[in-house]
Parts: sequence; structure tokens; C-alpha cells
Amino acid sequence: MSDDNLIGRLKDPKQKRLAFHELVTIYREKLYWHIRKIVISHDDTDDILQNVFVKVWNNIDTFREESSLYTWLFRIATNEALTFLSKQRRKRIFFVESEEDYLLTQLEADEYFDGDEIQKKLMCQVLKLPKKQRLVFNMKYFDGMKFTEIAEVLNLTTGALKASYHHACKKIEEGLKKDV
Amino acid sequence: MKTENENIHFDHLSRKYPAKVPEGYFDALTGKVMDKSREVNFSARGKVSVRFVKPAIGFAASVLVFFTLVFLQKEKIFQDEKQFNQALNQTFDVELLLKYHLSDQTIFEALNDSEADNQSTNDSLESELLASVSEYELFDLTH
Repeated sequence: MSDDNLIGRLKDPKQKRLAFHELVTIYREKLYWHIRKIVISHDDTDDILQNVFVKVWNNIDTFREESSLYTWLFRIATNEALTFLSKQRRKRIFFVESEEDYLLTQLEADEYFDGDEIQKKLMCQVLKLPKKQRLVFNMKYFDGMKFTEIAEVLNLTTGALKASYHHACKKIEEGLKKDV
Repeated sequence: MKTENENIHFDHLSRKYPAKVPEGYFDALTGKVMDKSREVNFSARGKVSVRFVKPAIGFAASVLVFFTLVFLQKEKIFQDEKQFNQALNQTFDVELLLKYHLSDQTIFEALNDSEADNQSTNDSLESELLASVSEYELFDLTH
């Protein structure tokens, strides 16, 4: 079923609930993994993902269809995840712990992480990246998204994204070499 | 042309994010999200009345505040006007009193001045007459 059809049904009060159920079923996994890579913890991801869907439920009537539904959903999810991290940072204001340390702690404590040692090292290097580079790297490397798609979600040019991805790869590579 | 991943030397690593989710999580998630959306609907119904009542209360309050301010301002203006009129009347009375008082004073002073002038004229005339008469004539006149 096309997104246009789904949007039309989501905007129809009679069909909204059923269409929303479909939307959740279609996008839940993609959005979950997108958020999970940003906030690391499963429990935090669960809270954020539910908020994302509630926002979609509340605001579907205001969706102007200037972008695709997929892009719109990813944008909401990215914003919610980044807002969550900002709130966490404000909570940690009295502690010396940086965002990187916080996320590394989350990774260490994550009972659902099932990577091997080298994958853990890779994740540690990813978490050391600046926020924007980390986002780009996750979306490109793990999600396999095209630069044009990432550009739409993050509202950046493809040129800037390519440069950002290149820098991220270099940093990870250097980090892994040092770590070995 | 370079490919996007040409410079990635860790590309041999799995591109699958190395984490899992609790069993049956996604199926349960759909149910949780649907429940939440239902809750939002219920709370939204409550909010609908608040959404309409709130602006109405706000509007009524602002109208009340506006008329209160206008009334107070009016009272203040009239009070000021009364005070102004009173002050004006008082000023007028004082001015009138002063004016008349001044006029009386002026007349009185003028009269005094004229008497004083006459007196001085008489004295000067007498002294002039005396000066024009010699001591001998004065003696003759007196005897």
C-alpha cells in the first residue's frame, strides 16, 4: 500500500485508527533502530518511540505532505531522540560526565547488546563522534540510507553529508587502529 | 569514480547494529501505542472543553479588567476635574481678593502719597519764601 493512500486514511476520522495501526506496524522497527542507535538504551528507545507515535497520531492532520511520510517520521524520531539527549545532558549538569561517557556507560550497561568484541570497539568509536557525524554515520553505515534520503531527514546538503561521513569514517578508522 | 565506501577499511565488520530487543517487543509495542493514542483521545476530549472554556474565561476576564480600568480612569478624571474646579475657584477667589485688596491698597497709598506730596510742597514753598526774605525784613515783620 502506498504512503499516499495511508496518509489519506490517517486523515479520515473513520479510518484513522486502523490506518494508524498499519503505520505503526510498518515503521516500528525502522524507527526503533534509528532511535536506538542515537540513545543506545532499549528502555529509553521504547519511551521515545512511543512518544514519536503519539506525536504522529496527534499531528497527522497537520502533515502537509511536502516530504514523504518516511522522511517525516524519521525527522520526528531524530528530533525526539536528540531532545531526549539534551534533557539528559541538562540533568547531568552537576556531574562531570560528558555525553560520550554517558552513552558509553549506556552501551556497557545495555543487556540487549549482543555484538562481539570488535563490534563493541566499533560502537565505542562511533559514540566518540560528534552528534551530527554520528547521526550521518549511523544512517549511512547501519541503515544503508542514500545521501539524498539522509539529506531530507537532517535538512542538510548531500555535499555536507558526504564530507561528514568521510570524516566520521576516518576518525573511526584511526580510533580502531589505536585501540588494537 | 570513487565509491562511497572506498575509504572504509573496517567495512568487513557487520553492518547490522549489534543489539537485540526483548522477545515479542514489537508486537507488544503496537498494542501499547494504540492504547496510548486512545488515552490521548480521552484526555483530548477533556481538553476540548478546556480549549473552548479557557479562551472564553480569558476574554471575559480581559473585558472585566478593561471596564474596571475605564471606570477607575473615569472616576479619576472626574475627581481630578472636581479638584481642578475647586482649585480654580479658590484661585479665582484669591485672585479677586488680591485684586480688590490691591486696588484698595493702591488707592490708600495713592492718597497717602498725594498728602505727602502736598505736605512736601508746602514745606518747600515755606522754605523758599523764608529764604527770599532778609533777616532785617524778617525782624520788621515779626515786630
